[in-house]
Amino acid sequence: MRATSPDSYSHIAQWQHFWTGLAMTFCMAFVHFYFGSGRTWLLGAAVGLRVLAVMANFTTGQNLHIQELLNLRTVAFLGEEVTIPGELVLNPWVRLGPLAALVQFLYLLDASVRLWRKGGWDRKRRVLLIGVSLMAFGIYASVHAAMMVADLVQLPMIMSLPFLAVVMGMGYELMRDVLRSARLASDLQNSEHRLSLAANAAQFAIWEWNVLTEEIHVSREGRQLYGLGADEPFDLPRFNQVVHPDDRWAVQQAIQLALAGRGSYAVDYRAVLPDGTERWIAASGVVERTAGGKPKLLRGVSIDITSREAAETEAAAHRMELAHLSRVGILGELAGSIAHELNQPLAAILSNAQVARRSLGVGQPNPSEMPEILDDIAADAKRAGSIIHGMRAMFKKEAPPDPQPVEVNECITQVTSLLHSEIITRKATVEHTPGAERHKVKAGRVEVQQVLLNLVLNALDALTPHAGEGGRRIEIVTTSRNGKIIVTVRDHGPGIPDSMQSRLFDPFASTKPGGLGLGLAISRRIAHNLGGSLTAENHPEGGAIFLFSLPAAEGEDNALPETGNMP
Amino acid sequence: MDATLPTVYIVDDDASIRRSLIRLVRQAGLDALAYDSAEAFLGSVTALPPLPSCLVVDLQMPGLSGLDLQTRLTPTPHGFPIIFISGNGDIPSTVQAMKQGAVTFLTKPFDPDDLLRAVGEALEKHRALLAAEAGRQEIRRRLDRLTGREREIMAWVITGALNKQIAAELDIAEQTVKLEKMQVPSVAELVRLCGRADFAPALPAGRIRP
Repeated sequence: MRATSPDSYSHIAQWQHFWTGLAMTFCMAFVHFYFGSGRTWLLGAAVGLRVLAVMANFTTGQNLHIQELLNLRTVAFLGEEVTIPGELVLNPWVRLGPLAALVQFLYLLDASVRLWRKGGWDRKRRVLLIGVSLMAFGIYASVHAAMMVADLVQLPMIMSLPFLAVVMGMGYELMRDVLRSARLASDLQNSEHRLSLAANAAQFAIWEWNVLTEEIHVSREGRQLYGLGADEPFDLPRFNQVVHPDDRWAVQQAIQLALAGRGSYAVDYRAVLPDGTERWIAASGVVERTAGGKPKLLRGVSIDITSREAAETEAAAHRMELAHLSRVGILGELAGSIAHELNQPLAAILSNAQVARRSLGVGQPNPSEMPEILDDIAADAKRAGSIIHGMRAMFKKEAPPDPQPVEVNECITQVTSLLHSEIITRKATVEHTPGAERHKVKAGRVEVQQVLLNLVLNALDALTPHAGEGGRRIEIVTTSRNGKIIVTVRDHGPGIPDSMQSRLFDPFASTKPGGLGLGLAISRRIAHNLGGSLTAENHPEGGAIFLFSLPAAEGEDNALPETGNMP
Repeated sequence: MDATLPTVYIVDDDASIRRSLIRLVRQAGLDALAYDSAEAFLGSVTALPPLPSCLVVDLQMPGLSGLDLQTRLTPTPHGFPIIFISGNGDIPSTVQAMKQGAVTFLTKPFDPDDLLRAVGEALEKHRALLAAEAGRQEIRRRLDRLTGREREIMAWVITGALNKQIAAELDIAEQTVKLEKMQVPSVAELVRLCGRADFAPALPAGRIRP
């Protein structure tokens, strides 16, 4: 410093305090962001004290250290003549300087230790290069200033050289980071390229829906998938146009669910392309939220599963065919019994018709009897018709979907009446406890009946030929629990043998002579297809018990109406 | 119900079959009574009047089957002829039913005329049965009028012994041997009647060699 008067020296020193304070604040800010481990309150205290010191520097005395500088001294330094303060009066605020330096040191020390403890060479290098050099610089500056103030050394206040070391350290770090960023950028590009290749190969589209602006950013593959032009703007309303009208509701539900809380989005839907072709798409994604927890972004992938869906449709067709064959097989076995059921009303019709014809032939028809006879004939014809109708439904390959939920107890009644003469021939009794409410399920009537038919036939087969009356009983009970309708079919036979327990539902596992062993396997598959289950166990008091469970139809009032025919 | 008409008892678990058969039978000028199970019929069988009657029974019913009913009725003195009707008759049950003396076996749906013919046949059979039974009753009534001594004598008469021999055997006058009480013209007729009434001839082994 070449100040020529005490006043100019003080003035220069005053600005030097300002610039040093500013530099130290920047350094701390750098550490704060670069280390990411400092305590914010400690940083605040250090910066606050530094600001106070700089304020005191400008408002009290001639600068932070000197109340009044009386004269200057000239010393030789590095072959140059430089001026340093001579006699002086200390500023009473001088202690703010070391205090600020101390808090700053503590902040740096704390941040360095915490970063060091996190481990890793990269972090340790930062601590050694930046933390230690800054702390060393702080110690140097404080000690130097203290010694000067105490007049222990006669040296100019030289900050530039040690600070240069700090700046070099920072420079090195920044250079590393710049180089690393460049490498990362290239890596990112490569990875994006790879992802795009993978997306292309797997035919999946990457998309990002901005929840706030409703804009959708979609990859090139995605544009192809949804049949969009390369520059066509894409947003939620446009997306809704692409989705098949029948699937829109499901997609909306999936989005709402994801945004509302689940956080993950998964839905299969059909997209209708501009040329009218349909495409099955499986989409899944995750929601990203703002710090406040509001959904910000939904990001995910969509895959074309049209071929998978086609394979599944084909498999479903095979399942249906197998179930149909099994049904036809059962009906074939039951042909005799069913013929018996049909012959009853036919015999009654024939007799009634004969009586009617004779009494008309005689010319004196009984006026009260004739309508009765005709009513009986009509009722019997209806009865025969309903047996045939039920049979035809069972014989059809593809059961028409039932638009209305199916009442399980009705199915049970229909099955037991179809098996009526079979049950009599085998000298069995079937007790059906329908339960106190309606039990409606969303399922095909024929499918439910097929499972029940199998279960009752199984129970009939399980009955030991010469058991007493109690042993020839089959109990069917309908209950509902936790949104499930459960039908239990219990026999009083010998139960399931241990050797069959594990493979009871396997195809071709049969204990019956001549049995194919497909009935239970197909029944279980039907139950699974309907979203239910079919299990079996032995009853502790003997006999086997089968549990057929189905999801209850939603939104159905399952309470019986007041006029319901309760037992 | 006319208490003098021949009656057809119908046993079938199917209500509409019962109703139609009652009509058919009544139109043919017969009386009809229906039961919905074999058990119900067996419950009232002892109270039925001794009129010509027959049974029309369904083979397959819950509880006792038609064949069970037939088996249980065989040892009773009613001897109702049985006509089986079945929706699904298998050969073994048909054979068993016929062996046990069924009149016929009709498969539903049957021609109503076939049933009426079978009913007529069955009633005829039962009528003959009842007549035979009535004859037996008459003989028993006459036998019951005999004193112990007279019975003893008659037991000898139907062995073919001469009055003189009987008188000697029983140490009585020959005149006493004549059995006017039995109202028969000849000894041969007496023997026939006794056979029908299961009246056993006296067989004092060793005394008489025929």
